[in-house]
Amino acid sequence: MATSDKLSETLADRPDRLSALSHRSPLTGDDGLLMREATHLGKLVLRLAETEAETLKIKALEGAGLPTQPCRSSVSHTGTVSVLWLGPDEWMVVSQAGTEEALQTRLHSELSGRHFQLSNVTDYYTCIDIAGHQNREILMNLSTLDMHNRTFSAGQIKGSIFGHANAYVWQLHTEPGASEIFRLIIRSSMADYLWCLVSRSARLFGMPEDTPISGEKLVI
Amino acid sequence: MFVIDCPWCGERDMSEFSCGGEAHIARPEGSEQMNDEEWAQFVFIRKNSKGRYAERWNHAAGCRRWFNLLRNTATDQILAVYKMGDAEPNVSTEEPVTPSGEAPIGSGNDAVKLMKPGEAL
Amino acid sequence: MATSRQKSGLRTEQGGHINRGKPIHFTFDGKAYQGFEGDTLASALLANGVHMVARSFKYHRPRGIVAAGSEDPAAIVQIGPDAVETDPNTRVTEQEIYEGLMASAQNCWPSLSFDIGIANDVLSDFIPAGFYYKTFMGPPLSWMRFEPIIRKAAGLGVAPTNRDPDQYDSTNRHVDVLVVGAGPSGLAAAKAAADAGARVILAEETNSLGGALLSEPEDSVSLGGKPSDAAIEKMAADLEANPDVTVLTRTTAFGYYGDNFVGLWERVTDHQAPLDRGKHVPRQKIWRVRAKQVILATGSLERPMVFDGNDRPGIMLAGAVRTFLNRYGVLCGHKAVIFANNDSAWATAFDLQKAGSQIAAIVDVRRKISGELLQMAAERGIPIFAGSAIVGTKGRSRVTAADIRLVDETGAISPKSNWINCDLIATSCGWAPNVALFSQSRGKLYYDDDLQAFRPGASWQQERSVGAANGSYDLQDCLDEGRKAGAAAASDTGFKKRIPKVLKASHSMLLQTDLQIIPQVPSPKVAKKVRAFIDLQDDVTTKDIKVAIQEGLHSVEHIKRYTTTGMGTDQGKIANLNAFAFIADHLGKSVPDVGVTTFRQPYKPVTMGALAGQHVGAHFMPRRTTAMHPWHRAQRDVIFEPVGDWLRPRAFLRDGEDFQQAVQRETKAARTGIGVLDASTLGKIDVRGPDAREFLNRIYTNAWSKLSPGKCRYGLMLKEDGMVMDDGVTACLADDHFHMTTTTGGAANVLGHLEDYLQTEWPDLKVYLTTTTEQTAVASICGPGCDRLIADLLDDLDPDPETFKFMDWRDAHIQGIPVRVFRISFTGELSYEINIDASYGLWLWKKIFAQAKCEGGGYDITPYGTEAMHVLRAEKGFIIVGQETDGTATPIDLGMNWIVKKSGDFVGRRSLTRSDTSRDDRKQLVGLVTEQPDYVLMEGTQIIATQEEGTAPVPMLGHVTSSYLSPNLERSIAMAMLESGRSRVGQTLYASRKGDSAMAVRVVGTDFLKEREDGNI
Repeated sequence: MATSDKLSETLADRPDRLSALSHRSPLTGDDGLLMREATHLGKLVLRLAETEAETLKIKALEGAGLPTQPCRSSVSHTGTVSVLWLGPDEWMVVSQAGTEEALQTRLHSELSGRHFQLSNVTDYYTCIDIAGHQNREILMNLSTLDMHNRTFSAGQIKGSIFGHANAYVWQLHTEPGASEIFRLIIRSSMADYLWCLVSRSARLFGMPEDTPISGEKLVI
Repeated sequence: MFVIDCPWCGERDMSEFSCGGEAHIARPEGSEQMNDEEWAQFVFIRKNSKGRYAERWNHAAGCRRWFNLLRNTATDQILAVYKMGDAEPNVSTEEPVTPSGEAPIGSGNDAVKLMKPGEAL
Repeated sequence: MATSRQKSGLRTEQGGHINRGKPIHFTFDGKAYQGFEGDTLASALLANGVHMVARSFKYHRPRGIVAAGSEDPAAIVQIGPDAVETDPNTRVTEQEIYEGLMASAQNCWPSLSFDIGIANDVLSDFIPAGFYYKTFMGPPLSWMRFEPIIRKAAGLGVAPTNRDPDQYDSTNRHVDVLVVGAGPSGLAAAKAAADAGARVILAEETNSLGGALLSEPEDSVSLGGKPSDAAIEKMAADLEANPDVTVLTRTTAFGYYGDNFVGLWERVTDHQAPLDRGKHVPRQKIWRVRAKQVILATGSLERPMVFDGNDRPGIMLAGAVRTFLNRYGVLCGHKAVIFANNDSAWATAFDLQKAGSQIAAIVDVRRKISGELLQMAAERGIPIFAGSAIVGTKGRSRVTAADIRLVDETGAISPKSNWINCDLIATSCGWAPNVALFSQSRGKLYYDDDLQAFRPGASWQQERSVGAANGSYDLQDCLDEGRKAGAAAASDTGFKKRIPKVLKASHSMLLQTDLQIIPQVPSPKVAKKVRAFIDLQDDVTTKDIKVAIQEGLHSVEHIKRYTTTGMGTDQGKIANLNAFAFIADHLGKSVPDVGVTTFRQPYKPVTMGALAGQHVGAHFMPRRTTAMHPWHRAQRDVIFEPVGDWLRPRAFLRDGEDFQQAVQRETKAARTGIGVLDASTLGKIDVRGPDAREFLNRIYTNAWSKLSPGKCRYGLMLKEDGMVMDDGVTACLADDHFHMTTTTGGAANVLGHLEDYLQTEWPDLKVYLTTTTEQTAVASICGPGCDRLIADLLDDLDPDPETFKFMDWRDAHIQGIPVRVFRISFTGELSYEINIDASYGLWLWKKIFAQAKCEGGGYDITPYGTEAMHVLRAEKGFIIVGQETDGTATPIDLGMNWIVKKSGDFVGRRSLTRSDTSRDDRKQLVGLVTEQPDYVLMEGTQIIATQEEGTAPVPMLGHVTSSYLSPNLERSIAMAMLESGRSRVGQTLYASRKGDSAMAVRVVGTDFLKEREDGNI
């Protein structure tokens, strides 16, 4: 059967790891506008009592404390680990690709004895980075958040609704003078929707529009 | 489409939140000893009053926290936002006065059509 | 000389805010015309002598251009070249012309000049006020009979036949101060707020800033020592230069909602020729603005005079005539009669005369007119008729004459007619603040006896009305009010930096002074013959309002609905106040006692495309897909099914198969060979903490205290009312750590439900929850002997069912990649669920098939979809929450008493013993088999007791919840919720069928596989 021939070709020797937007290529627009997926970043959700977070120093986080001020993030000395405030007892630890398992183990052993929860959400979410000076404008087309630089500055992270999808938007710390980068943290299953909606909302700034994967037959 | 001042995240559009109905209704202990009517009071019966009303809201698209909100349901005016477990704050509001039970201003009700600047009923 | 003027002289020699260097060509009703850049369709048509552009809605009477802006009642046309790119109901006073614009008249057939619908006019006595109500209330068939005729005659524009080819955008903004209207007061307000440092949006409905100043003659007004044009330009430049200010032209604030939320509608490219429109520029854009402070500088609207024959083309508002003259350089007529009750309209006469028109008369209803004004008219040689009125007009498609007579204090008119020829009547019944947005903000109006109009009264939101919108008509007052409001609004939002300079205005405008309103000009005709129009779009005359009042309708809201006054697409912007005044007069009340109708959003019609914005087509909503989706899509013929937001394969069709055949094959294969299902969409929640077990005990109906690590258990979750809300398998990972699964559609609800209880009812419980649905991809593999395939796949785990038991889970690896394997089953067959990090999901899926097909494999493997899954679980009698349950089924109703623990509280427990939920005769879940084995009942079919349905209402015993053709049982099977269902097992009942005799069905248990083993089916 034709089907089985096709299938046998797909037997992979090596495990093939795909990010949620591996079928999309970076898109560019006017004035340095750039959208790309930040693939496979390590992501752990840490739940811990707010009162403990205030005093706790976690070595594994390399100097990044657990921010207790809402919608803020912190960065490690090395700049490789960030801790994002998601809620008063909830943080996301974002680290470089491939480091999440080791980090999870270290955090586990350091926090043992306390009441906490540590969940690996590396594949649950993916990240869409939008750089270029029109990025605030593009995000305003999608969300009711106030994206003005008076109210949204580097290091801030806010959960909201973008189009019809819940996501977080996080402004990365960038070098002075460098272009601002906003990172959308979106559930993998909705990543293609949001990617395409961003591209659609950035048409005015010269970005080509990606169309969501569609056309599946729904009618018997 | 009002704005809610989340106790953690600050002012956000109402679309980020979901409403959980009347606040300050604790799940009773020892329900097995309660008769049907007492239990039904807890499960089904809500004040649903026009005017001042304490509600539970959840910042579903943000920090996912539940909190309480005191609202004038006739005008959508938010009188107070306070955390779970806190007592209902003592805030006064324009109570319904018109024959149809609406606030004189802010409700979109037209029982009172005309008011001069600064005039109050 | 006069004749040559009539041909070509409608455009002034100079002046106006048009670009005479750039002629623009366009067509109206197929005829070619020329205008200039900066013209609206209205000004360009008027410059070509075209007044009549439409016919009215009900009587099909000729309709001309009355106003110069969005308040025009009836001059609406169809724009666009064909049936696809066409825009109905476009106001000619707002549409700017562009090269190649094609406009056509609507609401008339076969043509504008010869309209068959005019018969309605002749028959107008038969379409009285309340026609629709009366027809509806009449004999049942009368509406049916009239409806098609009315539809045909009354249609407004024509809707496009195809999908809208244009793109629209929508965006959100937060500002400190939103200023609506860029006239003098709006500009002053925006400037003051911006200078103080506030974030500002200034929205102007027309194409340029300046508002009423643009209607003044060139160089007649100076601001701060500069000519107004230059001063406006300077202010605009200052605003544009400020990065925190956004100036939007061609932008209407259409709705004012709660918490200072204002919708703006920008027409971005509607004024451009199609070829000039930027490829990626949206046609229109919606700005959803959340403003801390709003300043309404929406100006004022002029009221027309109400008199017999006031609807002929060529009868216009005096202010509009002046706007067309000074803003667009267009003379609306050569021989004008001015009909006024206040001073402002006299300026129209003076300006028109200066530009070359003849003023045949100024007719003023006032007996006392200021000496200064009289002198100005006398100097210009204009005949004045004081204490007089126009009591009738002539002309069919254009006004040709006016009958001017004296009217005494009692309203009696002089008996002798005095016809004066004219081609233009410019009327003014005074100006009224445009309070629509203020009213939408829920502010309350009050009636100003001097203005004889409603003004903004008590505010409800953080808003200020300024300038003419606030009843201040003097230019200096407007500038001062605007500046003060702008500074105050900025200050209220925390910007107290600077107080901008006062801008001094010098001018000699004629304002509306000594206003004298007459609600309706008397007529010499018998009352029945008088046609004095209040609402020109909906054809509502004073007679209609009288009829409504005679028929007992005294509330202004009722009269509006009965007569439809103010209910057209113009929402009666210039009609309403005249209607209120006429009603008040007729009822012998004061206008404030009659009150106003409610101003509602939108201020004017907004296109649906703009409201939808970019969220259309493939961007309409998120469609969530799993890691395996690319594989599913790549199969030859797959039917998908939306499940919640998810898209799941429903059946994989092979060559020549139809859907049903594929489902039958897949269902059979899962019990005879090996079936594989993508189960990634199931909701997953990580539950951790020392009180996790106690939490599960309270949340599920069964007990969790003794479930040991490595084991799984099925759980049923209720709401507090005792009804089933969700179900799923939860695995114990460690004593304080559980992995919960939920239904695909219920995942978000369940997490919300659990967080709610944790945060609000049991904050003392030490438990944390994190959703992990998309973290893992899940392949569910089932079928006899599928353990051998699992063994081949796994590096380090023996899946032997003897040792790896049902409801166990184990960690393992596939080619070194960690997986978690659950021995759980939704089919009743031997089944394993492999969980892997989602980024390896597609690889795992391909790997499973490759392993099965490779040499030494040789497994008969079949991917199956959700439909086969439904059949498989139904064969085993498993419920699907949301299919068997509808929020009214308890576990007992479902025959699942076994999962309800005997002691200890849980959510919903007490409700299970309520008198209603413990009834024996509730609907209970049962199996049904049809007498005719190949007949598949329709889901939702009603079950009745007898084959004869008898007379309605037929007692219904229950309904079918699931129904399939089962290949494994080789017959149809169905599940149903049936009254006292369990006690009816063995009974024969009947399934009602539309258009056929009821089908006999036998009640059986729900586990059909077991029923067959037991020989029951």
